[in-house]
Amino acid sequence: MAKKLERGKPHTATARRDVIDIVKTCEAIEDRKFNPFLLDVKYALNTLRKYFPHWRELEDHCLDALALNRLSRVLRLQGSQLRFQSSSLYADPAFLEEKLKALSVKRLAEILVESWHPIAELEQITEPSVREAIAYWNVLAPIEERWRRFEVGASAPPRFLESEDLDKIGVQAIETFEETLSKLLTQLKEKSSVGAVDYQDFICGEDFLQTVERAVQVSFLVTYGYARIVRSDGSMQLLPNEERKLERHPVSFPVSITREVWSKWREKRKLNASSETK
Amino acid sequence: MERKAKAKRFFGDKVKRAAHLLLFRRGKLPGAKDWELRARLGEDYEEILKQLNDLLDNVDLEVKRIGPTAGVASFGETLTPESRYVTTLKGTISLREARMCGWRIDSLAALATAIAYVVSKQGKASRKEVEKILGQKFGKWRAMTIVDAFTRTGYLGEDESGMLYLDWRTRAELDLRTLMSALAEAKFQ
Repeated sequence: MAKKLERGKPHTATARRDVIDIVKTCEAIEDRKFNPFLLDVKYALNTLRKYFPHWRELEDHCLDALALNRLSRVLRLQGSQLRFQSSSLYADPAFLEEKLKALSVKRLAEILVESWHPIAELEQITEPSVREAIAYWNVLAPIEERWRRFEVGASAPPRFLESEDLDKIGVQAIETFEETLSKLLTQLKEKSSVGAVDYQDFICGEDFLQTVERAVQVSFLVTYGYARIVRSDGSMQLLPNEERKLERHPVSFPVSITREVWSKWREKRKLNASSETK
Repeated sequence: MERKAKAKRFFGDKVKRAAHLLLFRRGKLPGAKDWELRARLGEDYEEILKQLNDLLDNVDLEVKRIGPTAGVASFGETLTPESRYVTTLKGTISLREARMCGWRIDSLAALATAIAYVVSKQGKASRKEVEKILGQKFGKWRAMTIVDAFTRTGYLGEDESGMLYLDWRTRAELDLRTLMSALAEAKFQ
């Protein structure tokens, strides 16, 4: 490239492309995609120096300044890497990763507590918390009355519990939360193959509890960037993301579900289903 | 003699007040900011904190300053806008004690992994990479929840480009040199 420049005026488009390449490389280094020492800063500076006399447009000068600024940041990163490698904190990332994978959970926890000096702090009673406690105390029924509610007569004879029973009472889950979310995501992808899925339709289950559970699971999918909610014509549409995409500025969106709301959704869904069959 | 005694009593009161400010949580974060201490204790607040530090030394506690320049993990980045003083344990606690404080062994191991990984990447690592390495031990969803919890509690911070860095609580509580040496010396299992 240097030889080509020496012969005469470079082609402006080629020159711009070269400078943009430098800027992009620098930005990739800043995002920790490459090692800062992969960039030959001297060569990049020579390139900028060769092109500089030929710039006529203001935007080309701005691009040149931007490239210089990004190169200075890479130099700073190179400096900090040298300082870091010479410090006692340096550990080869690949070696450390292997070690972190190989060490047991207990050993890792032991290593942490050896270097851990937790903050000491106390929580004290405040005026609002006292008021809250008094209000709670005033509405709390005497223990005799509370116990009376559980007197249901003779208990049923003992029997063996199946894994489904344990799942119902929350002792042992048949499937993990991860599996439930994966299943729900697959379901959403299947339903959205023809277009966006109506939020109400999707979360509405056979009973109220199932509906609330599905709403919670959908909120996790949205928070973790596996799906997104789009509002159109006053209704909410649910769409799965091709790849996981986290929102840089997440927005909280409360959805209130009561038994009445759930009944309405269910009725609406039944009507829709019957009209579709007709 | 009388003047000396008066001066001693004066600092004694202020040391008590400093202890209250540092030990009792009032806002979202523990400890007190330097401007807050200056306003409540006066211009010589640093001297008062030194006296408090000497007293706390007897019960294995110490006063620590977390600021942009303090701590080995800052890597030249300004992570906290103002200096904050907190009281930390001077020594360390056992794994059993940590569990009694409400920490799960899983969470402690995940914290060690996340912090060590970020340190090995010179103080900044992408959230995806951290979740990936945690996911190998704890599962994908648990890894995401744990990283969320660490960012919420101030051990890790996340910038706009999804990069994780060591936040104020790590700089206050962790001795990174000891952690990295212990990891380097740990034998493969």
